[in-house]
Amino acid sequence: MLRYAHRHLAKTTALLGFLAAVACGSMAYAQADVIAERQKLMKEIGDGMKALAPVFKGTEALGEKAEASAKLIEANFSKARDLFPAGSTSKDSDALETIWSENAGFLTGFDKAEESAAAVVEASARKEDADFKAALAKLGQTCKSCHEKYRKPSN
Amino acid sequence: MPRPSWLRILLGVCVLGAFGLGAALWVTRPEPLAANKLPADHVDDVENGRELFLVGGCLSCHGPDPAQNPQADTALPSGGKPLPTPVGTFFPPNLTPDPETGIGDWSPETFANAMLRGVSANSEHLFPAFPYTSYQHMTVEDVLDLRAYLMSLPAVRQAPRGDSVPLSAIARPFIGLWNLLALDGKNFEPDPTRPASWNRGAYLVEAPGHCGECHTPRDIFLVPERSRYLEGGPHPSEAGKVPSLRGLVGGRAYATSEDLYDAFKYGEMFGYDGLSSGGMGQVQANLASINDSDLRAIVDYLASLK
Repeated sequence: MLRYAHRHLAKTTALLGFLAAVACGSMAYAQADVIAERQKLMKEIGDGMKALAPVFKGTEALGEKAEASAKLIEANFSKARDLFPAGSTSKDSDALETIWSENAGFLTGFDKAEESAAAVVEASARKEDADFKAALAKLGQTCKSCHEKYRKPSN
Repeated sequence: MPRPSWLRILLGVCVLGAFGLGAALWVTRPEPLAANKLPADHVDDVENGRELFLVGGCLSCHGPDPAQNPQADTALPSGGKPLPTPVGTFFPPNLTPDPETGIGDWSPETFANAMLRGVSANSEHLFPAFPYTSYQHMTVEDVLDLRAYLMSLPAVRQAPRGDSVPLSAIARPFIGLWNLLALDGKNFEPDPTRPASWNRGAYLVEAPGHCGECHTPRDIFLVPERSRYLEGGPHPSEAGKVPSLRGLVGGRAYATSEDLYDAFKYGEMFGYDGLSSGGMGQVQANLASINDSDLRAIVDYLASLK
């Protein structure tokens, strides 16, 4: 009887251990996933900003192409804001703990980024050069002020 | 004559040691500039001083923290936020011309001694949290122009906050010994084989810009390693590393010099996201505001570093 109980306990422990390992593994996998996903979105935002540079410099006309880039930036911000679950950082991530310890400020940063991106979209649609430049400068500033606080120095 | 006991020998060694140490500290005592080192006929150039103030990023350390002091004008160097270091916490002082709480009563000599020799207004060694180790390479004329600019600013009365450095009294005299390793007393030497713009850039990076303070690794005595100039190193206060400034252009970071120029001038507005974290954000803002020819000079110089 006792031997049976032992065996039963051993089986239960093994099963629980296996489930725990699967759970941890899938959490780590999910975390790696959100990190990769938000990094992709941020990279696209960066590329979108680079695409707007010639318009700011006046070597490209302000028009539909700029509007499309700005729309992509705005859409990516609204997707990326939900991809920072608590503690989701790793050696492959530049996310700092301040994202979660000062989470309200971090999310306000996203609000501002989305607002500024929307202003760039709007100015592009109206083809208002001065408004476009001012909105792009403001958008760059929102990127910067978050990266200053919530991102590890780059290597 | 009695034979010396061990006690006497020990005492003798201690006396000799104390004498040797005293001599070493005396030899490395604060050494102000000779009065004749200051040019008698210098005419202050406030505009040049302002440019050096921006290149040096003085506000990054000496500008007030709006979080702690919301009323303070952040454009004036009335004293910065606490600077934590391995030896304690320093409070970057008020550089506005208020005679009591700022540098209003500092003579040109006093200012030049701080910048070029690391000697304080009361003739003590300054801690190298203030990067005189880079500023020593500035020309005396530039130092005087920088002072003239600071003196042209509105005076702000901001009581000094005492540094919190527990071993300050004991450690301070020993800074002279450290200075033997870290100060060479040499002016910046232009390279005659290079164009003027390159030399201007090299000077701005090395002396007023003090880039090497973070971008050059330090040896076990915390002296920047000249042989590994601008090769990058551990970040002084945060997680991560300070990147190398060698091979910046043509590699992964910046395809061309124009890219590097755009990154300094426009930063994140053009999608250059590598210059915001780790304290570099303020440096980029400063660089974006300097004269275009100086920014181009800095880029010329950095692009040449392999």
